[in-house]
Amino acid sequence: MARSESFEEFCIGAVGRLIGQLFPVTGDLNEAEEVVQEAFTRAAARWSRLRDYDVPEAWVRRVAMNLAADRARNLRRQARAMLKLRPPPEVLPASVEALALAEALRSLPIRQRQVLVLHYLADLPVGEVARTLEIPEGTVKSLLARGRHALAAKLGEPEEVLDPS
Amino acid sequence: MSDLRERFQELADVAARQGRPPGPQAALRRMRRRRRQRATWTAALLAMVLLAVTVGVDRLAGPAPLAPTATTTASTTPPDVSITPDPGKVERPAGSPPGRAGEQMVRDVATAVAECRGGPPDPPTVLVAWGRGHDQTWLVAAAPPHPGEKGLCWANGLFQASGAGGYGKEGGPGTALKPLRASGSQNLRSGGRYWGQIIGHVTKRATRVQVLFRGGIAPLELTPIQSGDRFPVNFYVGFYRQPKKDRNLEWFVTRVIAYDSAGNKVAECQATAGPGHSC
Repeated sequence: MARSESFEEFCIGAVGRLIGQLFPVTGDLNEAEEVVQEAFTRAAARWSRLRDYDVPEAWVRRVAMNLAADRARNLRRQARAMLKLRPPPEVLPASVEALALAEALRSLPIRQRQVLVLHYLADLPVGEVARTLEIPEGTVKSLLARGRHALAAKLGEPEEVLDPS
Repeated sequence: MSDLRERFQELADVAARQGRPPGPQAALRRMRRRRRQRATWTAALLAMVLLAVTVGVDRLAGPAPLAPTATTTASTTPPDVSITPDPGKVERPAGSPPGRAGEQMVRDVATAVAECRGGPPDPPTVLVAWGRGHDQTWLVAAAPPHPGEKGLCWANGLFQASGAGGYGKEGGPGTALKPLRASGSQNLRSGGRYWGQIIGHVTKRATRVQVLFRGGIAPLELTPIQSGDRFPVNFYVGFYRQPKKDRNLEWFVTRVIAYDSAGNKVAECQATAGPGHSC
């Protein structure tokens, strides 16, 4: 019982944060919920091992990121799967700037979105982003630079404003 | 001007607030279902291999009669978690889908209703209706609202015979009930074709629900399913055939109109486009 309770506690504590991180990657709240849910399902099956990890959430985030990328790449296959529809995502009550960012992100390749989210939102250093996505650090830096550049162009703002650091 | 970190954080906060994650119970349920399916498949595969071996050996040995078919039982993997969701009691005035898969379907939709109510509802969830169409079993379950409640917790499910499928909760005790609501699925494969489904609730004044489509699909006329006195609305369910060329799965519903017995329009809703269509 204690095991399941701790999984539940873990799930309840992390699910909002992970949905928040996956939403900018998928561009769709339902899709973000689905990949996070699937990642938690896989975590549940491995919980006896994952519970001993320092940060089990990092494992779930990595799985969810991979799932988001797989689903984006295989839209046709995904479309063939039976999908239960839900009510349409409401227009999120966010600022104009945040909504513009969401819109701009949708036009970027999935890899760029993942790198930007992990770096700017999950606050992971470049090395950790590289390990999460299993790509070289140089590629992460390059994707970050391209992503920032593309966002600046789409948002009509200088890159220095978006990333003052 | 806020920088990227602030904007990302704002987006994430809003998404986390607006998100409706099914929760840990749903993850555990999904995991257990997969384990059962895997065990069943393994057993079936093993049985086929044994049968093939038996037949092969017998043929090599000559014309002796075949030995009885080897049988095996499904291995059961003990779940590594013991907690189970508690959907509470379910009243079944219309019966329920048979078998273990049927029982699981009922449990799934009842769990969704319980999640909507924040626990097993009292009075219990009612399985308002269920039926079959195009190789799918659909179910509608709802919890009778408490006096003074303006909303309704209900759920619908759509399952294959194996029990695989989807279900979702709708509405909520604090969400104002609309006179007409629709959602559905659009990519059900049956008989070599694709089918769409529309499901929703409608005001009790309505005796007929008309569903209009684009893509040249003929309108659908549906009769509401009577839910009884304990519910403020009735429900309706229908299937439509997807145009062949559009098997890439759009929901073709454009408008849903409810009429009373005199033919007067009593409610109408316009379907939304894009992912997660509804009306």
